[in-house]
This record gives sequence, C-alpha cells and structure tokens, in this order.
Amino acid sequence: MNGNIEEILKEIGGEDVPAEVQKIAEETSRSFSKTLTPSRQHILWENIMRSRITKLAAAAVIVVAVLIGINQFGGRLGGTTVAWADVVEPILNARTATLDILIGSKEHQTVIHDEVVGSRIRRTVLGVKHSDIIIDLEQQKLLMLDHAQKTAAYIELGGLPDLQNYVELLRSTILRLENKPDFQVDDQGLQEIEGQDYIVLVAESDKDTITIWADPETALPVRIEQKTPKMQIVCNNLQFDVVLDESLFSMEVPDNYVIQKARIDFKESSESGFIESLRIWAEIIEDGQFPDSIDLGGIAKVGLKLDEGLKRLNLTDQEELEVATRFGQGLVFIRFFKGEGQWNYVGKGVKLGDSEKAVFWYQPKDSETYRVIYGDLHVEDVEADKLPE
Amino acid sequence: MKYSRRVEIFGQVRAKYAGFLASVLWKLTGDRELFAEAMQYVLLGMWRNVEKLNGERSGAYIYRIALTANSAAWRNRIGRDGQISQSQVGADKDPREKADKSELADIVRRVIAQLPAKQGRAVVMRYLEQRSYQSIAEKLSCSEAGARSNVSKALANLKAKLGNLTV
Repeated sequence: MNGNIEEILKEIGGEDVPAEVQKIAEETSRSFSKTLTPSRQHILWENIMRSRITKLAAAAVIVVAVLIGINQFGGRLGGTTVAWADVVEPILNARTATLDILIGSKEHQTVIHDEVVGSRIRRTVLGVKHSDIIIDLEQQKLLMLDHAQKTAAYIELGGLPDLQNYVELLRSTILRLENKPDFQVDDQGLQEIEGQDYIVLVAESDKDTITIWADPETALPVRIEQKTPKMQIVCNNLQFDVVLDESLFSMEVPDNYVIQKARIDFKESSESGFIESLRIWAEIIEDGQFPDSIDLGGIAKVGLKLDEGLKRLNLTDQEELEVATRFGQGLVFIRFFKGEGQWNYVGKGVKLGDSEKAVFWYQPKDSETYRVIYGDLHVEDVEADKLPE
Repeated sequence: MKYSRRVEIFGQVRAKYAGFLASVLWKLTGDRELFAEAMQYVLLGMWRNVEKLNGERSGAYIYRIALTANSAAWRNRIGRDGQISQSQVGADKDPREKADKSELADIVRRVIAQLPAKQGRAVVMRYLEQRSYQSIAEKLSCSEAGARSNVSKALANLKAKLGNLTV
C-alpha cells in the first residue's frame, strides 16, 4: 500500500508548474503587494516657505501629546484560545481601519476618531473644529489643517525610534504575546450591549487589563478597552479593511494656506522641562491653579483652554509657538517616564506659588530619595517616610 | 518594526521564495482556483509573520506558512472535517476501477492538507521536492532518524485516511 501511495506522491512531485498557473501566482502576488504600499510617500517638507506661529500649532502640540499617550500603552498581558485567535485575526491582517478612541471617564470624555491607512492616520478630535489632522508615523510628522483660517501646521516629531498607530500597536503586541508560553486569555462568554450580543475576552497582567468585545458570528472585534493604573482608553466602533480615500491622507498643504512648523524632540525628557509644563499649565491654562489631573484625559482637554490662555496674554505669534512647544516638550517627561515605579500627581486644588503644598513627586532611577515638586515649583529631595500623603 | 521595513522585507521574501511557493502550492493543490486561494493565504501569512521571515529560520517558516495556507484553502473547499466522501471517487463502483491516477492524486492532496504539521512538511519535502532525509532533518530541526520517522508516520497516516480507496 505504501508503495502505491509513494508512487502517487512521486508523480505529484514530478509535475511542473504550468505557465498559466505561474501567471496566477505573479498576479496574485502583485495585487497583494500593491495594497501594502501607500501611494503618496513624498512629503513636501522642503516646500515649506516660511514659519509662522498660531494657536493652530498649539492645538497640534496637544494632539501630539495625546498621540504619544495612546501609543504608550500595551505590552504585558497573558493567554490564548481559539476565540482569541479568531478575534485577533482581522487586527493582524488589516490594511485599513477606522475607530473611535475614548479617553477619560464618561463625564469628562475626549473622543478621537481615527482612520488608518498604513503608516498614516487621519484624526478628528471632537471639539476641534474646521481641522484635519494627518499623522505620518513613518515620517514622524503631523500636519494640521485649519480650513476656516486657511492655515496649516507641520509638527516634526523627533527622537522617536518607532511610532505605531493603534492597529499596528495591537498587532505587534499580539504577536509578541502569542509567542509567550504562559499566554492566557479569560473567555467570559457572551455579553449584551445595546441589544447586541458580543463575545468578551479579557487578557490581564498585574497592572494592565485589555478587554475585547467581538461579534460572535464574524469574530470581528468592535470594542477594545485598556485599563492601567493611570488611564483608561476605550477603542470603539472598530472596522477593518474599510475602503478609504487615500487622497484624504495626503501630507501636502492646499494652495494659499499659510504654513507654520514646530518640532518636539522626544529624546529630550527632563524634570526642568516638566516643571515648565506645570508652570504653563497652572499659569496660562488654569489661570493660577494646578489642574485636577495631568493624566491623558487631562491633557486631551487642554486644547481650548490653552487657546484662551494665550489669547489673554496677548502674545506674539512667536511667543505663542514657544509656549505651546515648551508645554508639549515638557510633557514628554511623564509620557516617557524613566524613573522608578510610577509618578504621583497631587496638585488638585493647589495654587501656583504655594511653597508648602506638593503637586508632584517621583523617584529618579537608582535614587534612594524622592524628588518632590511644590506649588511654587521648587524641588526638594525627600526620604520615603516623609513623602506627602 | 516600521511599516516601510515590513513592506521591504515582505518584498524580498516574496521574491526569494516565489518559485518555491508556486511549485509547492501547485503540487499540493493541482487546481487553479485552489492554487490562487492558497497563494493568497500564503501572502497573508507572510505579511503577518514578516518579522520572523527576516532571519536565518525564514526557510522553515515559509514551509509552515505554505502548508498552513494549503490546509486553509482545502478546508474551504471540502469543509472542516475533511472527510472524504465515497461519491468523490464514485461510491457506486469499486474505487479500484473508478479512480484513475489523477483522481487518486487529488485525494492524496486533500489528505496531505489534513496531516499534522510536521508530517505534512516531511512528506512534502521528501516526495514533492525529492529532498534527502538529511536535508529534511535540517529543515525540521530534528535528527535524520526523526525525519525518517515523520515521513513514515505521514505515509501511515495517509494510508489510514485513504483506506481502501487507493489501488
């Protein structure tokens, strides 16, 4: 019997690939590859004629801060099930996606709508009117267009080795996790939301939780929730491989628009830079008082207040840009925190200038003492048992 | 890894293994429609695992991807259980009379798609590519005896699944 099977196998092995089949292979391959390459790679950076500064750049800085915040999460989960494999399949293979990102609690929520094609994101932030935001993660640049004012701002994002959009981030996280031997996911069965049943899968680590709601029939994920000790992000209305007009992802500025530019370097992360952000936040944005929160939700809400604060100061365009850039630059300190453990913000209700009350403390790397920043922005080294409550 | 880098690696790997993939998938499918479907699964698999294809073990991963793609394409054609219906070779007549070599080859192909992964790779390397056991052992990261064992198990498995349908 084996001999017969071997004979058939050998005959199959001796078959040549017909020219017609070769052609099918080439065409299939070419069509697939075509969908991977964004049609517009070039950036007209060199065509920027001049640099002016407006509140548009300030708003863009906030968008950048939020972008970085979102892209920092993920990475430490546990488990795998058949359901999990099915649910993550579209995430792993999607070439386009649309999604809503909800930051903060229901009462104080910022909603960001993202359309993703390859390395580019077209972002709309609820409450920021007349603006298109295109983020090119590969070129590490952001373009913000204000169609009402016919102005455009380019923000160069320096010092980031790898930026990923939300879908890319999920993809790399999933691939990394699936290679871990102890990877585990809790399948919580069906859950009803607004009359619709969804499969609920929960992946947890010691501090992070990711919950995915997926359509039980198609296994397509429709909602992903991420909780960490310092923030909660919900990704809603997920759709994969939708048809998107790539011309809307262009990094080119329409004719007759005034162009400004700015740069944030994410390698530059310092305590002094962060103190400057706190000063701007309390002095200009919150009118003399430290904010209730400096987490991602707090940052996302800053845009309008920053505009108003800059207006009150009656600054020149140049001064406005400097303020906005310094503010965004300083926030790198907490978004890319390099100290021991977690930073702590206790500034709610503290007035700028109060030398008695602490607003922020953290433990620098390899340090036995803590750095405490007070309301008048002076800093002290403090032993662990003398930290503010 | 940056998107552009992924695209670049994908292009390189696709070019490197184009001939191999066309040959193996054609031998495993023997059908244009099935071949095109398996090819699409291969491309998706390569894109999904592009990071793994950038190293020394890329050849081994390509085998896995090709065999998985072939199984997926066959599964879509014949269903998840993969049971071979008597009607596929003519239930009303003695299969020894009915099934010619071409039909038997198709049956063997669909049974290969259902073999355990390592056995599938072993039998493909041995018979469809005419590799030596030493070469198979290198590709499967096992001893030569292990390679022989996998081929032998695959043949036994094929025999069991084919039952009395073969001549």
